Amino acid sequence: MPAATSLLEQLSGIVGATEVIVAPEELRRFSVDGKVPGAVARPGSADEVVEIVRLARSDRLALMPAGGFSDAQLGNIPRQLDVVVSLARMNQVLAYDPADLTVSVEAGATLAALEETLEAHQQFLPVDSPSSAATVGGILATHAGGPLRYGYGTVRDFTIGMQFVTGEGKIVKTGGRVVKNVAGYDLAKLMIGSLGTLGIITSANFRTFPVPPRTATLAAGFASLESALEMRRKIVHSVLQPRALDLLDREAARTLRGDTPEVEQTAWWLLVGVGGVEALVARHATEAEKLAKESSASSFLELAAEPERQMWEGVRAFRERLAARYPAMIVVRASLPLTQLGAWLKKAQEVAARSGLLLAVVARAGTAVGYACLLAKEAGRATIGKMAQASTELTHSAMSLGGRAVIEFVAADVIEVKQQCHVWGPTRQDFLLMQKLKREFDPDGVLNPGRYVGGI
Amino acid sequence: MLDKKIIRELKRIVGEDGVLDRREDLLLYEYDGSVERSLPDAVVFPRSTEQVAGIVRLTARGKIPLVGRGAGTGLSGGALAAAGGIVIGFSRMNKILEIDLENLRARVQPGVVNLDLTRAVEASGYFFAPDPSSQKACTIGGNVAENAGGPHTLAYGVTVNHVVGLEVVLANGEVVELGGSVSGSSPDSPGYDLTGVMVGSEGTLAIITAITVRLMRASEAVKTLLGIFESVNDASETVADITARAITPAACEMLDGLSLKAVEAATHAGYPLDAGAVLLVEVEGLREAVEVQAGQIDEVCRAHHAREVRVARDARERELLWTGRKNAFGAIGRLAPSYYAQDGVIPRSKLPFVLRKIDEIGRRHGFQIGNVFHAGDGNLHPLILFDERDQEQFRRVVAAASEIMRLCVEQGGSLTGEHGVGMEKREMMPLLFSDDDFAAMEKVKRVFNPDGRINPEKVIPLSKTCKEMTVRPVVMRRGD
Repeated sequence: MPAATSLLEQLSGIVGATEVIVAPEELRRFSVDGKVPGAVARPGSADEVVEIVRLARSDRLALMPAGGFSDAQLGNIPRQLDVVVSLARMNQVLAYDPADLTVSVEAGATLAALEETLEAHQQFLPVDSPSSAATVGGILATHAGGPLRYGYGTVRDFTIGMQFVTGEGKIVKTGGRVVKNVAGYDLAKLMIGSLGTLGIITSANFRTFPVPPRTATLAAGFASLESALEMRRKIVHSVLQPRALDLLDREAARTLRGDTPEVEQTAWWLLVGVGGVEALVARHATEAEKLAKESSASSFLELAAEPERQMWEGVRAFRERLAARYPAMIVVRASLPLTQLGAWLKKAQEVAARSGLLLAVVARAGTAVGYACLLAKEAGRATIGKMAQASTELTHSAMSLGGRAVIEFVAADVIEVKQQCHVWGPTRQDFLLMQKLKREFDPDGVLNPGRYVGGI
Repeated sequence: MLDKKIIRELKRIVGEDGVLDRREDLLLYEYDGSVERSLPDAVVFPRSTEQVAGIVRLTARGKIPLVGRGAGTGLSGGALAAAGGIVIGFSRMNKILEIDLENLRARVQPGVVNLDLTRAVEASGYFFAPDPSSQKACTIGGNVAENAGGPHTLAYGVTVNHVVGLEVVLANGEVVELGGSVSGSSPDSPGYDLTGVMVGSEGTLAIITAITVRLMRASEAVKTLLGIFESVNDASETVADITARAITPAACEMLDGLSLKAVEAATHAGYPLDAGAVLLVEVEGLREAVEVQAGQIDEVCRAHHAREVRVARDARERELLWTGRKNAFGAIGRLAPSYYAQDGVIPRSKLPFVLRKIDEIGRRHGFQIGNVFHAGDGNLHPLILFDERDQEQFRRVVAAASEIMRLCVEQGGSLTGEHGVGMEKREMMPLLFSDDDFAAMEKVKRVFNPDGRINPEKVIPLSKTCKEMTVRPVVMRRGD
């Protein structure tokens, strides 16, 4: 690695001296898994991103594209980390056509800022990712999402175009600004979820959605997982069309709602989020209550307005809330067949109990994505070992149930978990194709080396 | 010409009756639903993934071109052997391999006809959402290759939103599973979204041998409205306004006056003969939502001077209206010896302007242009009527079509919404993409299809400067 002064000079030559950070105390804020970068550069345009990539290629620097740093711990420990390329300055809405329900936005725009723009026209992007400090680029690169994916799909389903800079330093455009388009290969699909290992996303185009005139959330409490999943099954296979269908265990509910008697008496909560005209919301409430009774629910609540908003805010940010209570925490996310979610959650309970770890569960019940949060009051070598062992077991369990799991979050205090297991799980037959794609798009390996699947 | 030895080997793999190589047989595979023709050297009909892999391996050394083909209903030449070689016909790989209603999944072979999948699950209350107008004939393999749309993709998304996993045979004969398993869900599979990039790659990356799709729960209620307008302009203002008011019907189709006459003569669906245009709008969902949306749409239609807004009284009337719409391309064949179907996309707010411009372009070149299209998502299908026997007309129709395509791109749109680039629009791609964009597509192609023998001469242009479409339009009588 070149001396910091020359790196500073070179980066300053590209983005301007005020947009380069090299002060050690500031750089620590940008560390990933304990690795501190040599510099942070804040380009103001795709052309400047190109220049940074060219510099990285010639000087063998490792770049980490970054947005709001809200999900920076995802992935393996970086093999090398020289320059964090912060897209924070590229935060403009490039074009918003409310009458077409499309928006084009730079990658560094935060979800919160974009939401504000769209809200003025009663529209929104159904990406309720864990943090609203997350940027558009970060959400795409990590394929982040939240409870609303049940009703709207993930960001993959409403991204209509994208611009990115490849690891070769070329600006590439894919898709467009219309809602239906099959001209050329859909390279945006490759970029979404690729953790910035193929290119640095500089802007993206989305379709937007109308804000429903009314929303409400029906919360049914259950004594057993089986009953909660029975109600889930009834809803999924009914004509009802909720926007969100989430499951919380007692520990998760405690974190979100506090230790109320109701929370303490309820093992599982099924949350049914609905939106639409008044009559539609009312119909969902009536039918959900009926289904809850048929599934032996112990309680049934209807939330609206502020309590509803707060509840979903908590569900979105559950990881952050839990992390505030438990310094030692990892989150294993499994995507399963609908019929196997219950089996995997039972496995998580069994593994946690056996390892002496606490467990909190949040699940996108309607799409069978489970988040098992393994928690301990104290870190330390024993905890780390238990967590690594438990997560490996849960990853294998997901695979044997026909799904896939990844370790989505590892708290700083137990970061060594990442050294003891594969956070992305074992690779499969199609991994060779992924390696080849990586070589084509980033031949010198300058983009996020080592952090992705199979060490890509 | 193929070596006789290759033909013998192909017969050894798929059986004596599974190979065509006589010219009179091959002629049937020279065309698809599009504007191009190209004669393959042989057509083979495998029955299994293993047989496909065998064909791919056999032809690897000679670098013989291979092209997958479903029902041949494609509209851009995607299933044609542009460089000769072997067409792999999927008519014998037409099995639904698994239906898993509990997990809302099905796994099918590529030759399964689109509508057959919905037919197999509709009694239980489910459906497969992509519904191209050719759905009675077109195959799911073809839908995946083209990322097919259809009227109801306005609400439910196009094919890529409903495919969760693929089994493919790579150029070296290796069989690879991409994305999720039968019940898995590809967006969550760790690693690059290979399924996502494969869908819509127009069969140019690998040969698809099995497809895992999402099934959806059928809606409780459906209401079909027919808004009748004096002019195309009023109808297109209505569509722009429906979009601007963020009303989200399940489908929103326009038929202009010219196409209405043809459709009505062909199907007697009850469309008015004297209207300037109609909008066929469908709302689906729970009863409560359907009522409200239908009311809103009625209101917007009337605000834009609809002469009348009818509601289909029963399933039969609804079916008839849709039969008319889905067979419209064929019906247009009544009006002129030939027609040339376009597939441009524009932002929906630009509909009134672009339709006026298209009319102008037609007048200037001396052609009638019919419009039957997916108005709700801005996906135009101008149908230019002409006589292919007249060489002069023939030259001008290509010029008019190119002008329409340029217009769509100028207005912030795209060259194709669902029919694909194929052979037809390949040389117009530089209107949308730069050399660096093509270079990135080439990279993907190199990974999957390194010597380019899988469906060669499609999608990515040879020349990086835009040319006119170099097509030879012919009569088309299949759906869109």
